Amino acid sequence: MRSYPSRSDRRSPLRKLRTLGIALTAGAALSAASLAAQDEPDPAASPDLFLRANKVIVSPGKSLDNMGLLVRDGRIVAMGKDLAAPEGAQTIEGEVICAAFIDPWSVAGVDASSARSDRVDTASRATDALDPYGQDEVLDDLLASGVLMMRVEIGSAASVSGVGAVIRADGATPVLADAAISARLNTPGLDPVSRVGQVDRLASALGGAKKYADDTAAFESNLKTWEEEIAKKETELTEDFKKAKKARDKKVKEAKEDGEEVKEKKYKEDKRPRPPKFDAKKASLARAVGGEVPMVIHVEQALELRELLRVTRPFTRMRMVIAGGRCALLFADELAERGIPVIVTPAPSSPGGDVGEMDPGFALAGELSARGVEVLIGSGATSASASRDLPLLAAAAVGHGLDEDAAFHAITAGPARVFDLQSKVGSVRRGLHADLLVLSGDPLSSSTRVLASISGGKVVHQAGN
Amino acid sequence: MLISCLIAAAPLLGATAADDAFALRASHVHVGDGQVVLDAFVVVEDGVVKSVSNNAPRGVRVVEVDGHIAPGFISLRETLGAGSENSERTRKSTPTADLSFAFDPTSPSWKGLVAEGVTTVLLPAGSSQIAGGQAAIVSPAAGEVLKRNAVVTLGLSRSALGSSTAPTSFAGLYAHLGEQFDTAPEGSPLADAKAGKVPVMMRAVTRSEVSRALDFAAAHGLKGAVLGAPEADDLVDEIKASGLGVVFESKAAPASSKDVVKSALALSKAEVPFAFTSDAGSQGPLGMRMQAAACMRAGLEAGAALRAMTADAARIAGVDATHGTIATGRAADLVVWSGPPTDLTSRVHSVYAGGHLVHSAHAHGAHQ
Repeated sequence: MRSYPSRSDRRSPLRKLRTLGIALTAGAALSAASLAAQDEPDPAASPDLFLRANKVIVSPGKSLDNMGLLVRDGRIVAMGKDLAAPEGAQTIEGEVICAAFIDPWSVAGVDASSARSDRVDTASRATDALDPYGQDEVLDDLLASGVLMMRVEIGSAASVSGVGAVIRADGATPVLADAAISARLNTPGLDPVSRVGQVDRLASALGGAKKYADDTAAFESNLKTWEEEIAKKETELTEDFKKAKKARDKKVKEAKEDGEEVKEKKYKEDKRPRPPKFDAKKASLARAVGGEVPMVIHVEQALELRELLRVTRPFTRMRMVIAGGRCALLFADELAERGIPVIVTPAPSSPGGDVGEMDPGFALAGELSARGVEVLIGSGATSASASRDLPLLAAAAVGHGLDEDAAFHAITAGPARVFDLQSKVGSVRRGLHADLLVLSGDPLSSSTRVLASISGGKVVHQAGN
Repeated sequence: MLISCLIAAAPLLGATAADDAFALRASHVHVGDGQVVLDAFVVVEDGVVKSVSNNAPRGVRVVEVDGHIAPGFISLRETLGAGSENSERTRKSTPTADLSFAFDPTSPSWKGLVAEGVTTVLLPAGSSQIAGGQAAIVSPAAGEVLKRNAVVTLGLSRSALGSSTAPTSFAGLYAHLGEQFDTAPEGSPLADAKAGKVPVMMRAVTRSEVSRALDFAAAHGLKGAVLGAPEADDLVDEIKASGLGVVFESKAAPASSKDVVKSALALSKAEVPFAFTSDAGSQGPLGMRMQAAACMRAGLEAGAALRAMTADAARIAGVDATHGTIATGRAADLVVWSGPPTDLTSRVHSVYAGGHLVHSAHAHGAHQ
C-alpha cells in the first residue's frame, strides 16, 4: 500500500491504539502504515524553474512588484527583484504570480461512486478512493484553470463520511491524507423532527468519540502507573533475591525433613489496566473532537445549524468548519466569535433552493465576511468538473459584495490555513512548496488567462500547449 | 460617487412617465457591437435611446453613474415561470402555437435574473416537440411581451423523438418536418420561416444532429440559429457556410460547458455569431454570465463575450433593430456596472428597462 503524507506523527495515545487495533483486526482496510510522516515534495530531477512577473501576490492583499522566483526541487528557494535566471533554467514570465487555487470542498480526483457512496463511515479514507486515471481529463481541466489542489471527501450520501484528503490535481496525489473529517446534516425532504434527530445523532457520536478519547487517555495514564509499579516491584524482588532464596531453601529443607510438600506462595500481580475496546470509527472521530483534524459539516438550513451550534458548544477543542451554510447569516455573530469558517458555494443552481427566500444567493460570501466570519469558497462537491469553475465562483462572489482580497483568500491562503497546510502552500514565500500560477492579469478577473500552472515545482500546464 | 448616482437616480424609482427624458453619464459606454465610448452621455427619451455622445445634452437631467454602461443582456432561452406551458406534450408539432402565452410576468424568479443584468429573453417551445411553436421575446422587468411570433422553434435532437409515438427516428422526424414545411399555407409560421421572414432556432446537440439540421435549413432556405451544438468547433466551416448562428446552452453538465468554451473560441475566430441561453431555472440567474466568463478565461475577447450577450443575440433573434446595442432609436435597456460588464467581479449598480429604473443594488439592500 502506498504511503501518503499525513499530519506530523505525534505519538498520540490514539494513534498508538489505532495501530494496535489494526494489528488485532488483522488486515483491516485502514492503512496505519500510511500515517508515516512524509511530506516532502517529489525530489524532481527537473532543472531549475525561474518565474518572473510584474506583480507577485505574496498573500491576500500583499504584493510585491517586479519579482523573480527560483524554484528548485519542488520548492521556492529564492525570491527577489534582482534575481536572475540561472543558466539552464526554464523561464516563464507573466503579469502576475500567485499561489495556486485550492478548492476546499471538492470530489475531483476521487472515484465517482465513492464520492456518492452511502457505505462509508468515520474511518473511511478518501485516499482509498483516488482515481487519477479515470479522471485524467477532469484533472487536466483543473490544471488549465489554475485549481491545483482540492480538499476532497467521499460518501456524499452518508451522514458521516470519514477522512478527507487534500490532493494535488496533478495525478491526484495526496498532500495531506488526513485533512478533515466530514459529516452532513443536509438530507433533503426530511421532516423537522428527523432533522433535529440527525443533529442529535451527530452530537452523540461526537460525545461517544470524546468518551472514547477520554477512556483512552485514562488507560494510557493507568497503564503508565501500572508499569511503573511493576518495575518497582521487580527491583525490590531483585534486591531481595538472595535473602528470599536463602529463606526458601531453608523452607524446602525443613519441609523435606518433615516429609511435607512446599507450598509455593504465588506472586499475585496487580491487574493490568485494560484498554477500551478498539473502535476505528470512534478513534477517527476522536481526532476531530480533540482538534487534531478539522471537522467539516455540511449544513444549509437554519434548524440544523442552530442545533449544531448548540450541541457542539461543549466540544471546545473541536475545530468545526461549516460547509454550505445558506442560512449562516442568521448565526454570523456566533460563527465569528467561535472562529468557525464557512465554505460557501455560490451555487448557480436552485435559486431559492432549500432555504427559499432567505437564500442570499451569491451575496452570502460577502455578507458573512462583512460580519467577521472567515469565508472559504468551494465548488460544493457536486461533480468532479465543478472544481474547474472555482475562480469563476470567487469572481462572482466579488461581483456580489465580497472584498477582492477576501475572495482570493477564500481559494488560496484560507483553505491552506483551515486544513493546516499554511506552512506548505497557499502563499508565495521562500521555502514553501512551489504550487503557483503565472497569470496574464489579476487572479479573479474574467479576462485573465492562466499562462502556466506549477504544481509541486513541476510545470503542469502552459497556455497554448 | 456611487452615492451621488443613487441620490440622483432615486426620484426615478417612482417615475413612470415615459416622456421623462434623462441622460446617464459614465466613464465607459459599451455600445454592444464591440465599440466603447469613453466619458459619454446616453440620452434617453420616451423609453428609447436618443443619442450617445461625448457632449453634454442640454435641458436634460443628467445622472452621473460610477462605472460602465452596457446594453441589457439578452438570453436566447429562458422559461422561468413558464412551468410546462411552453410545451404541448401530446403533439409533436404545434407550429402556430404562440409561446407568449407561457410568459408569466408575475413569477418572482424574474427579479433575480434582471438583477444580473438580463433585460430581454426569448421564450421558446420545449425541445421535446419538433415544431413547438413561435417563440416570444419578452422583457421580464417590464412584464411585457416585446415581440410575438418572433422565432420559429424546431426540435431536431434526440429529445424530440418518441419511444412509442411517431416519429421514433431521425428519418421519420425529417420526413414529418419536411412535409410540414412543404404543405405550410401562405402566411403560416413555417411558410414565413421558409421565406426568410422569421428566423428559426433549431435545437440540435450532437455533431450529426447539427449536420442534419444544417442540411435541412439549407434545403428549406431557413435562417436563424442552431440551439445547442456544444461541439460546434468541429463543424465551424459548415456552420459558417450556412449563414446560421449558434446559441449555446448554459447546460448543467460541466463537461458540455467545456466543449462550449472551445466552440465559442472557434466560432469567434471564424466570425460566426453566437449567443447563450440563461436557463435560470436550472442554472441560477448567473448561468449565462458564468458561461461567458468561462469562455473568456480560456481566451475569448471581452468584446466578443459582450456581443454574444447583446448585439449578436439580438441579431440571431431578429430584434437587432430595437435591442442589443446602445444606439439611437434602440430600447433604453441599460445596465450600470461597477466595472467591465462581462467581468464576473463587476457588480450591477442599476438596471433600466425601456427607460425605467427597474433594479438598483442599493434599493435591494445588497452589501456595499
